[in-house]
Amino acid sequence: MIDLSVDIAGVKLANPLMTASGTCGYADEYADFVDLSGLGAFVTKSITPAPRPGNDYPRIVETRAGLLNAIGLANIGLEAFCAEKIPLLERLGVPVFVNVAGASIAEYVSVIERLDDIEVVSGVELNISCPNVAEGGIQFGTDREQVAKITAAARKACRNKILIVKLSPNVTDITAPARAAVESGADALSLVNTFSAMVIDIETRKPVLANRTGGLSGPAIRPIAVYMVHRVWTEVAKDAGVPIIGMGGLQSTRDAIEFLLAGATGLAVGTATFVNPACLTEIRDGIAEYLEAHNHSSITEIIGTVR
Amino acid sequence: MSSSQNTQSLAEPRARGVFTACVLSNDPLCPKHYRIRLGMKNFPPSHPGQFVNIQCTGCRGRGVCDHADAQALTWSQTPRPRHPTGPETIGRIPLLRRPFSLAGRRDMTDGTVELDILYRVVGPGTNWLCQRKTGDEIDLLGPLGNGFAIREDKPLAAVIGGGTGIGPMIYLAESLSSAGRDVKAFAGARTVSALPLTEEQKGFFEITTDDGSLGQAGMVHEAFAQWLERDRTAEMVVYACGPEPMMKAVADICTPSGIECQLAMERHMACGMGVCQGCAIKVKTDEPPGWMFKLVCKDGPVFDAGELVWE
Ligand SMILES: Cc1cc2nc3c(=O)[nH]c(=O)nc-3n(C[C@H](O)[C@H](O)[C@H](O)COP(=O)(O)OP(=O)(O)OC[C@H]3O[C@@H](n4cnc5c(N)ncnc54)[C@H](O)[C@@H]3O)c2cc1C
Ligand SMILES: Cc1cc2nc3c(=O)[nH]c(=O)nc-3n(C[C@H](O)[C@H](O)[C@H](O)COP(=O)(O)O)c2cc1C
Ligand code: FES
Repeated sequence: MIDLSVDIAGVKLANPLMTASGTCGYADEYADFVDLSGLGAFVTKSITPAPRPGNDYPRIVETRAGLLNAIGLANIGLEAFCAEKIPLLERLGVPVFVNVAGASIAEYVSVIERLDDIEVVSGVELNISCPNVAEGGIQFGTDREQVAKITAAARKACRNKILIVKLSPNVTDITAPARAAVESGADALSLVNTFSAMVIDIETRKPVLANRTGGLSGPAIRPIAVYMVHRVWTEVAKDAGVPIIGMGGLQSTRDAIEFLLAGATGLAVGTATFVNPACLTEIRDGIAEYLEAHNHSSITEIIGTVR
Repeated sequence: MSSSQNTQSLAEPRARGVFTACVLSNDPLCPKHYRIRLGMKNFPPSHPGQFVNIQCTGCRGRGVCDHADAQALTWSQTPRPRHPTGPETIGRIPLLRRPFSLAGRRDMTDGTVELDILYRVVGPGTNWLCQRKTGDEIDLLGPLGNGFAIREDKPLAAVIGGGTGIGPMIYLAESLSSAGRDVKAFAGARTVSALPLTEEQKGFFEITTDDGSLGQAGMVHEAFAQWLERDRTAEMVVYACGPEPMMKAVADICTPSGIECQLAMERHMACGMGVCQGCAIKVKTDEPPGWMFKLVCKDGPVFDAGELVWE
């Protein structure tokens, strides 16, 4: 029997596979297509204090080997989430991480405080790729000091849950925000979020997305994501004992092994689930086969072992 | 059409899923349009207006079931392909599945199902699709979205299709007729060589072409309006699918007369399953600012004309 279980800062996962925020709904939207109880953990869409309608249409455009999106954090808001989705999450039978977003530190804190008493929630994932409206719109995630501030504030509010900080890759040196998050109390890091990008319609000469720019996901970003996971693992996370949830273009067993070797303990799949939601459990089984074929008895034996 | 009815509990039987379909035939109807007939071992109940998401990439090998007769199909026992752990191969192009409306369904006595899709070749995905041969296998996810609402209280239905939007109208007209309802069907295209109908189907539709090369010259909504003025007899419901200006024109004819009008809308989609929030469409609400977003894949694709905010 191959042991696929991993430990994310004290939360025991049966296997490393999880949903990437915003790509698998709030709870059981994929239940017709994949046995969600076979996941390691479920990560929800970003939740903000009030409901958000999101950006104008068009919100998505496919690129070569990638997907550009500007959804604009459309979500039902904290109260509706607690009333309608928490009961569904309770039935999944796997640890739940709720992704949290906001336009100011106070907004993040208000959501975290509410989630902190909800039993089914095992952890909070901070989406810091949002502009800090209160401080002139600088993205939390691209500024070291903002990362430190928001992580420290979240840490205080998050007493009973683990705190995962999801890093934005839109920085020159990914280890800088990673270090800031770890020093300010993050229990785990997840990376990467989407890369800022743009597609222009050459006939109308306008950007395709109504928001003009969006975030790139999918296989096109995978090698950069693997690189960032590896750097953060070797330069920050390994010594600090902070696990990494790796994501970005993960599409197959091969890609999953690559992220594990680079230093990821958890694995999240986003864009690839749009094509086949069951890839979450197919990849899980593929990892077990790989480990068996390479004479390993536990997944932890290969984490961060790239030579 | 409410969003809550889509939230299925975990224990209920699966109303949709990923299926392997076998190509029974894939023939051009006109230079740009094809009709593909797919054979399936089984498929959940579906309704006109619903769609399926096809993975227009890769090929599940040929010749697994190379007879065009659904009764004689031998079904592939090969499991869905595993994710390879070998060296990275050329990326999947196109990356995402492509949505297509169902254009017909036949349930066979042995439980197998035939589905029709009518499609126009516009890019890499549809180009891949038009190259599939009889016997090829296709990966299909569905059925997705909500179909047209059937109105038991309205004895007459007008069905209006424009261009590629004729596909779902064939399925709708067929199921309304076989339920014994009175159907008046209209189909419009730019020109006769862009009209995606078989010779047999042409007899069922009142045809218009912009250039008059077949049927009445002009736009399909004009033919509908003329008929409405002349022959409207009973309480009726109008269904339409086609280019947005055509659907808006139909809505503008129906709404002032208080005629119920259901439209099948289109938006670019990433998932089709209600998770990505990509396919937003504006609908009216009573609360400020007077509109909200719904999702075409989950709350639609069929919407009541009166509900839509046209842009
Ligand atoms: C609910 C729904 C039902 C549909 N039913 C049918 C159908 O029955 N028959 C049919 O031929 N087509 C249908 N379409 C449109 C079809 O999905 C697109 O033509 C197809 O995705 C194009 O893929 P491609 O790779 O060939 O071209 P791409 O290169 O992806 O696109 C080529 C052109 O098609 C447009 N396009 C791409 N994706 C979509 C999309 N999702 N919706 C609308 N336009 C798009 C692009 O803007 C571009 O102009 C439907 C779309 C939706 C949303
Ligand atoms: C349509 C879409 C919506 C997303 N929404 C969110 C979100 O609400 N919060 C968040 O932290 N990340 C969001 N993401 C980013 C993903 O969680 C993930 O970090 C990214 O897509 C990279 O993984 P992938 O290539 O496997 O998709 C979204 C991505 C996509 C494609
Ligand atoms: S296409 Fe993803 S929500 Fe509609």
